[in-house]
Amino acid sequence: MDTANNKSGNKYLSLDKVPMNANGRIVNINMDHLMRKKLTDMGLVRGTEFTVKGQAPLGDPIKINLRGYDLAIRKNDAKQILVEQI
Amino acid sequence: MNREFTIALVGNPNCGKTSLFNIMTGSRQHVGNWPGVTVERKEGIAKYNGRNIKVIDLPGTYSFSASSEDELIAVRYILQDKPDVVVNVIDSGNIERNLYLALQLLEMNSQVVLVLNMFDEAEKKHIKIDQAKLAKLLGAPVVATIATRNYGIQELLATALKQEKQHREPLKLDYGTPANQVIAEIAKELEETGLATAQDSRLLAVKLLENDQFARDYVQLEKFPALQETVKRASQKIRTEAGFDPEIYLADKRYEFISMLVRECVQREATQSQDLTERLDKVLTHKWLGIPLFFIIMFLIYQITMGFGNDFLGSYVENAFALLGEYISGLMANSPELLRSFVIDAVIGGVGSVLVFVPLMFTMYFLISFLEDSGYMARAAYLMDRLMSAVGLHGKTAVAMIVGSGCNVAGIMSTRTLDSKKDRMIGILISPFISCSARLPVYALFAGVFFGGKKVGIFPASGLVIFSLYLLGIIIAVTAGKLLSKTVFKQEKSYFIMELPPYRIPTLKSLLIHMWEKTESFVKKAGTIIFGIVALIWALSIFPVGVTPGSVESILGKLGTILAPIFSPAGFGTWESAVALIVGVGAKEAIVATFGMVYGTGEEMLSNVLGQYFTPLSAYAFMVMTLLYSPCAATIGIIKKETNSLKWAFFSVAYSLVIGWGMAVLVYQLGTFLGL
Repeated sequence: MDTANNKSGNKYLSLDKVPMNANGRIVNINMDHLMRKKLTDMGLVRGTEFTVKGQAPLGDPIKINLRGYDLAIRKNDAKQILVEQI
Repeated sequence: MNREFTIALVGNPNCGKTSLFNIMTGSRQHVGNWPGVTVERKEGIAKYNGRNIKVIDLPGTYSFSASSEDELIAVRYILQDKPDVVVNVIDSGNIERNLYLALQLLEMNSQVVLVLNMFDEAEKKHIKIDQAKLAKLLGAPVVATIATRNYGIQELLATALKQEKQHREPLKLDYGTPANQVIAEIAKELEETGLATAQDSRLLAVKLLENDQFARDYVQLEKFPALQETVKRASQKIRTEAGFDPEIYLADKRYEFISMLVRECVQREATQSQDLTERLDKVLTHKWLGIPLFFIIMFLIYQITMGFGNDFLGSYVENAFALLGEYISGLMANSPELLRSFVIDAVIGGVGSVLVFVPLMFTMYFLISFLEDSGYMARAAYLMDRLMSAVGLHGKTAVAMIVGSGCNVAGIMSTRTLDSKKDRMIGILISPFISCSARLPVYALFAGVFFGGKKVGIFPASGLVIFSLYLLGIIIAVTAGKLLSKTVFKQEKSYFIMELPPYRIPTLKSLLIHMWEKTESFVKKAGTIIFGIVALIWALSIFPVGVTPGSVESILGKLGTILAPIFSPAGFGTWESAVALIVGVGAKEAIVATFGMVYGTGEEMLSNVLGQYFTPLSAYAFMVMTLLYSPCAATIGIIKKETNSLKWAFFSVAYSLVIGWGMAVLVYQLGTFLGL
């Protein structure tokens, strides 16, 4: 996934690259059925807005806040989620 | 109709469902098993105006589909057993995500009551929820509760009872043009083929379109090619017209509806103040402090469990059983020797060997329940995941390993929270290598005799020896985990997607209930197995009739003589060691007692004679063997139960026997080569 700009001028990047405390919106989830279903059940779908809240002491997993709760996700899994920074 | 009025509690994990269940049913509850699976089934009786209401606590689930065993149970129960009312417990502070499950439940025709639990937490977060409007938009009653303060429970029961024999129209979500049409088509076909009634046809149609495995199995889709074709065409239609898989498309539509609900019914006041969770996380998951704090917390748990639970409380139980044994022995002075021996050695000794661990388990489970209920356990997995994933393991496996250092059985039980089959199986299979408290008496004896009084630098040698065994256990567990993830479970995927719930102060009541439940099931399940094995060993040690119990002429002694040569390369090829190891499969702490018996010295004088049979090197090899060879009987039992497979239990025994023997031989041969 390249870093590119969309028509509203926002930056496209993968979720693991979003800087701390920045906000973003999910654009596309490129995962296998099982993981995507888990994310869907947890409220992370296209269009969901989130804030990157922190990372574990060794830098991985990361913690994001969406729909009012905190979710931890491995960077390796987050890599497959395309987002736009807002 | 004499059937009890039944309500089923269903909700997301961490929604306070279990606290609600506890407050509704009080002490009138019991834990059983769902038929055919190992997930616990909790049910109890609530009382309202003198009427008994059966309450079932279903496993926590994020959605109404079946991707894990827990979820499958919840879904199957609601669809097939048809409780009178489904009570959907919602964490008010986290209402948006919790509504996803609610929408799916409301698409069915069953009676649903929505419970806004932990209403006080939402208020603290400045979240205001318009209950009346929510009830109107969803077409189901809404009740606010605070389980920890016994608020709203009576209203909940009254509302649930009111739904009896009422009819509720299933929620008809607007899925947009292509979807609404195809859902209606599939629903119609389902009704025409008699696979569904007018009430649940819509839900099943949606689920089939989502390619949900449970729905497919439920209607036995593969037997109906025409229907299969309709579903396939419908999926294709959505894919071309909406541009997405139906699964994604339908979920998007649900979340759109939820966004509308939240806009209409929920007010969030923006606050600048950090809440408790954020402040605690700043410290507990701090870049430099997080991991050291984790190890300090684990060390404290270990110290309290061993010091208070085992040494302090455990000694009372031990003494009580010793006294009981003496007392009964006196009473039975005139009974036949065989009967007396059975009662004293097998019954009291056997039951005692289990019950001695109960205080340890009480203490450990109290502390572990505290970590779980407070929200720290989720952080532990979060903190450790990076280290663990470096060797192919999951963050939650670290939690299982720590719990397992108290007792492997408990460690294996804690792997239930792992999502993927791969992580769970590996967690179960490597747990027995973690040095548990039952191995400690063996280390203490051997290290004391052979390494006591010596020092390495400033450290006592015996302490270092015991520490090295703990370390070896962890190294072998991690290595085995790595190998298993690269070989047997190579195909299976692992991922880490986990909610970090807010920190909460657990109530004493729920901690005590959890402590009691878990210990009770340990006593019941492990107790029967350990007791059986102890009785068997006892029988082997006294037959054939006339031999000195536990002597080389007994069946046990003969068995030991046969097996002894196998252990020669490890330096302890005596029949006594072999017998001790056989007994140790029953329970590892029994190894010391067995040595006392077979050397005819009793436990107290053992240290005087061990020097004649072992060298420091062979003693170390024996300790390595004790650590690694075969899980104990209780652990084997729980492996079979948790994996639901005799094959995996057998595999666990076999591969740890090979590893244990191999490591003991390696230690002895290497040591001999180096001239130790």
